[in-house]
Amino acid sequence: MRLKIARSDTLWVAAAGTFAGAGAAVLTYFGNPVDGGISIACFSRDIAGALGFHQVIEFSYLRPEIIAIAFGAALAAVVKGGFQPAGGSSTLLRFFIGMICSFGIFAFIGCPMRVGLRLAGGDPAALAGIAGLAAGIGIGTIFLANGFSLGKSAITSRTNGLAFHFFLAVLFILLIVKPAFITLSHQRHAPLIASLAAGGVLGILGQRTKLCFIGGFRNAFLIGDLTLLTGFVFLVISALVTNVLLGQEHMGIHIIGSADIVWSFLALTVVGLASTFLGGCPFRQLILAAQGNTDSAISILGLMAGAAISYNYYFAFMADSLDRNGKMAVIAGLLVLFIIGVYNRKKT
Amino acid sequence: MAGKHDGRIMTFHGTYYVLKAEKLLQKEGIAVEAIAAPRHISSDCGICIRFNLSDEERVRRIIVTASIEINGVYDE
Repeated sequence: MRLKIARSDTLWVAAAGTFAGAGAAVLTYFGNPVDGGISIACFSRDIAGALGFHQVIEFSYLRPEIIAIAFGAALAAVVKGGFQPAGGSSTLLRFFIGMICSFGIFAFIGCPMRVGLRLAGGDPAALAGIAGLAAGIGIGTIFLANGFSLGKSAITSRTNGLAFHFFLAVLFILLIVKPAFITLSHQRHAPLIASLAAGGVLGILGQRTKLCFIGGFRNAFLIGDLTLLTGFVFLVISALVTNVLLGQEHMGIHIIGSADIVWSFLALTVVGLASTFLGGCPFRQLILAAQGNTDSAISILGLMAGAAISYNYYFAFMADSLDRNGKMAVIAGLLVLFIIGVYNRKKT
Repeated sequence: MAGKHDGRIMTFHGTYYVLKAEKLLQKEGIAVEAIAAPRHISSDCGICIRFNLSDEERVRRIIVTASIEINGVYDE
């Protein structure tokens, strides 16, 4: 297979990856989690906790980055004519695939973006995670090449396309008003203005560049196109450089999440395969949801539900170990994804 | 392969169809390659095919004959 790269697009994708990596490291400096200054899945888990869907107070906060990324992307889409309400492509299946994706993410503690950030922070366990992610995407591309499809979406009403934005706007109001029924941890978050600014710019860049931490590997494996993969590479490099400049590098020392090589690998295999079936990483799903894609919005809600289940049923990596429940969820998730893969192939 | 100003992009409703179209067209001797969908083009699956403008009529005929649904055709 001949390797190819689109030079002009690559510059933009690299710029977006650079901003994501540097922005995440700076937000960590200002108070966001270590090696996870921006993480769509972990922040979705925190939102689920804030709304009371799980009870781990430490992981409960209405993360403004998620809201800002979505509204930044929506703004870019409206200005450039890319806002297109669409949906109806295996909607319920996407919810469950998103949920399974979360089981893998929280068995390891890291969505594709946070795997890159953990590597950039100096966490050696991230290498097993990246290998697993690549394996999962590799398996996913075999399914894609053999006809896997969740079906095409159809244009839908503007009300449908804006429902997710309405949900996020309500979350933002709750964050500002802080009613008693919302759980907001006072730990590990950057100042609101910094989170909104970084998230907003990242949303615009993500929408304009199609930055996707799964799509990069998928395109490289499937057609030898390296354009999108540069986003992941530059995310790691820029976060690493920024971490060094800010004195928060911890080279060779594992700080958060699982360090078990086998279970890190398998957990991220689930994430890679599930995300390939969904057509993109959680970050890309959030951007697409902001553009009016209700299937992607459902995938994000599936991630949130999966996050809550992971902490309620002890599937997640907690107290320095992955419980038997978590290991069973990873294996069961992998099996269910294989079944979904086999039964969703086009016959023509 | 297509130069900067004479390339055309065709998108489909899934990865499988992009790969199938690429294989079919290559078999017919048409210069075609599957690439990541450029930034200005929307594609459900993130990839598309690129071919020369001069081949467009033949490409369309082959794809339609194979009963593959075209999502969109654009300038590169």
